[in-house]
Amino acid sequence: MSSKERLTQAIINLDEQMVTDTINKMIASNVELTDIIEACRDGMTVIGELFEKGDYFLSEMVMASELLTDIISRLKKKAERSYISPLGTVVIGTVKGDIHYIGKDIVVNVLEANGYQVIDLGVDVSPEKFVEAIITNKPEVVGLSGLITEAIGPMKKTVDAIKAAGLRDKVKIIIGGGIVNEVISSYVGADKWANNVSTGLKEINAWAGEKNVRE
Amino acid sequence: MLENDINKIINQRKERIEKTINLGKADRVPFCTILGINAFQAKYAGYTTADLSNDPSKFGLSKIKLVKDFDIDMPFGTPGQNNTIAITLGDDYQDLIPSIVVLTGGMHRILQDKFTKWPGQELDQNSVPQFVGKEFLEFDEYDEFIANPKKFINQKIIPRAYRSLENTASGTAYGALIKWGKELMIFNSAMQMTRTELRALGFPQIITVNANNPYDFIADFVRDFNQAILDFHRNPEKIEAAAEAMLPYIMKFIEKATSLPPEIMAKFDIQTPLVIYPLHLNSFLNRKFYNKYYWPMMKKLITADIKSGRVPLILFEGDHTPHLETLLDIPDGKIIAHFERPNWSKVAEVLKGRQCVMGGIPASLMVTGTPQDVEEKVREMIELFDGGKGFILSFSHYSLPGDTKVENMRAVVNSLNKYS
Repeated sequence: MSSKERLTQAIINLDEQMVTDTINKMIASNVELTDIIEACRDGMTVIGELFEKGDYFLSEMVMASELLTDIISRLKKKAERSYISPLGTVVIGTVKGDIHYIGKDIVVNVLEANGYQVIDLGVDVSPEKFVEAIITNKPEVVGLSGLITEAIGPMKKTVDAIKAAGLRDKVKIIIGGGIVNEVISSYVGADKWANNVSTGLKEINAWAGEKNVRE
Repeated sequence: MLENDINKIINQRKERIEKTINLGKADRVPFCTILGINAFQAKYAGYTTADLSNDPSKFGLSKIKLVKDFDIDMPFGTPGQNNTIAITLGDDYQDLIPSIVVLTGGMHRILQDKFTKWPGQELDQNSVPQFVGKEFLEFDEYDEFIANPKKFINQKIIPRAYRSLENTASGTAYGALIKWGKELMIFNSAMQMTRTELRALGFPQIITVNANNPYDFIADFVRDFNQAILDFHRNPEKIEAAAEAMLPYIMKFIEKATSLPPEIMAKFDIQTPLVIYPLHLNSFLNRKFYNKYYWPMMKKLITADIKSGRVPLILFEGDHTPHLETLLDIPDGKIIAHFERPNWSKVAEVLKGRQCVMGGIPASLMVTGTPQDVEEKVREMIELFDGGKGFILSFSHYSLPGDTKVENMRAVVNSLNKYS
């Protein structure tokens, strides 16, 4: 088994020790950093499938996110700044009035480990801040996170603000969190919705795929 | 209204509730809300959520208005939970149980706890209070906690969790405790007035206490939610021992909160106490963690409740569908199970005729839907439970958004009367 495959397997098994040992060896032997990113991507794909099948739960997503955070921080240390040309840029934040972060943080970690550049605006983010971040970072995708039902209104206000700023056709908007569904997505005016990280990643990957084909 | 008429209405609702808990079909499906500080209640009564958080009388008045206008048989919910300090203090001063467990915006301002954020303070005037949690126990401290949780909470966690009690031997701390006591008195007298008023309007009063599964207590108030989940993966024996160590304190708190003196008991119409368990970790945990650790602990609490004649009202957060079958371990007709967003047909398949089930209306539908959508949802739920046998209608979440349409609230009540 190659070290890349070993890393993928260790991520799937959520074997923290194995992840640490493998990544240390890979970094020491100057393995291509893209290999590490690909191993993360492959591992997360399988974890997503296990989640959808009901074999893995949110407890596994939290653990996987912890492993990815560790891997990313090692990569960043190794390659200083831009360790890979990103697949795309995603601006993400929990909307105004909601301060929940666990779900959003998992998505951030998974996107980064999949090779996206992520601009994380944090929690309780106003529509104006989202608009400002879109102007500054020119993302392909904007992710609005929310856990409480009170987040529905602010999600709609954020999409409205993006429209009012004339930026709506420049970005794809995905809403995410335990509460969201098709009805809320259309009420808010989003393009897609996801109530788990695996679906969210698939939607974003599909957009990134379209974009790369276009280019 | 004449005293006799009021008693008649109270008895009618009382029978409705009791019959439903016993898995029967009542004259109407009961309507229950479990709402803390929520934006709809505030807006509907002409207040902000900050008003409700800071002024207990406004919280009480808005609750009365909501219950009265929308015919809510079982209105539960407190502004917030202050379990960290309540659990150990209650062990020393049992006469303070259960009143010390509540947390309001006013109390948050005085105690400066780090585990919640409130409207008009850290959040906007019209936001809802939210629980944030924080790591108040580091992994290396588990053994010390397990050896004597009360001592550890008093000496280490309380100073870490409440800014005003950082240095307990200080004027700041003493003053904060006095102010907190005053605020508790204001809150309790407002709630007493609310209960009296609701009773006068024909709404039966029920004894309730909020309690936690010890694993949730550790995750929310001690270790931090994320860290607790990582502990299940890395060192389950530690979090298991910590939860075991907390169990006696929680059980004692429940016992004390529901064993009221006869003169107080006489003020309640329904004498069977309800123990409300808001679960947090449940839907996060995989089958192994849930079945090996979390559920056995929950079963200990439920068994003790049943033995003492209490009814556990368990709030299963998130999607609890994968763990539904474990509920068959409990004798039939002994609990009320509230679900947030499960697969409802699966719930009916597993629990119909076995346990009283509660929930059904996604809070989001109250914002995005029309009265027709709401009516359809209510009809669908009542049909699913054979005309409403052993079924209590409620919202999925503990908060109703400010954008909730009043006509949708009316549609809930009208449809309840129409279809059940």
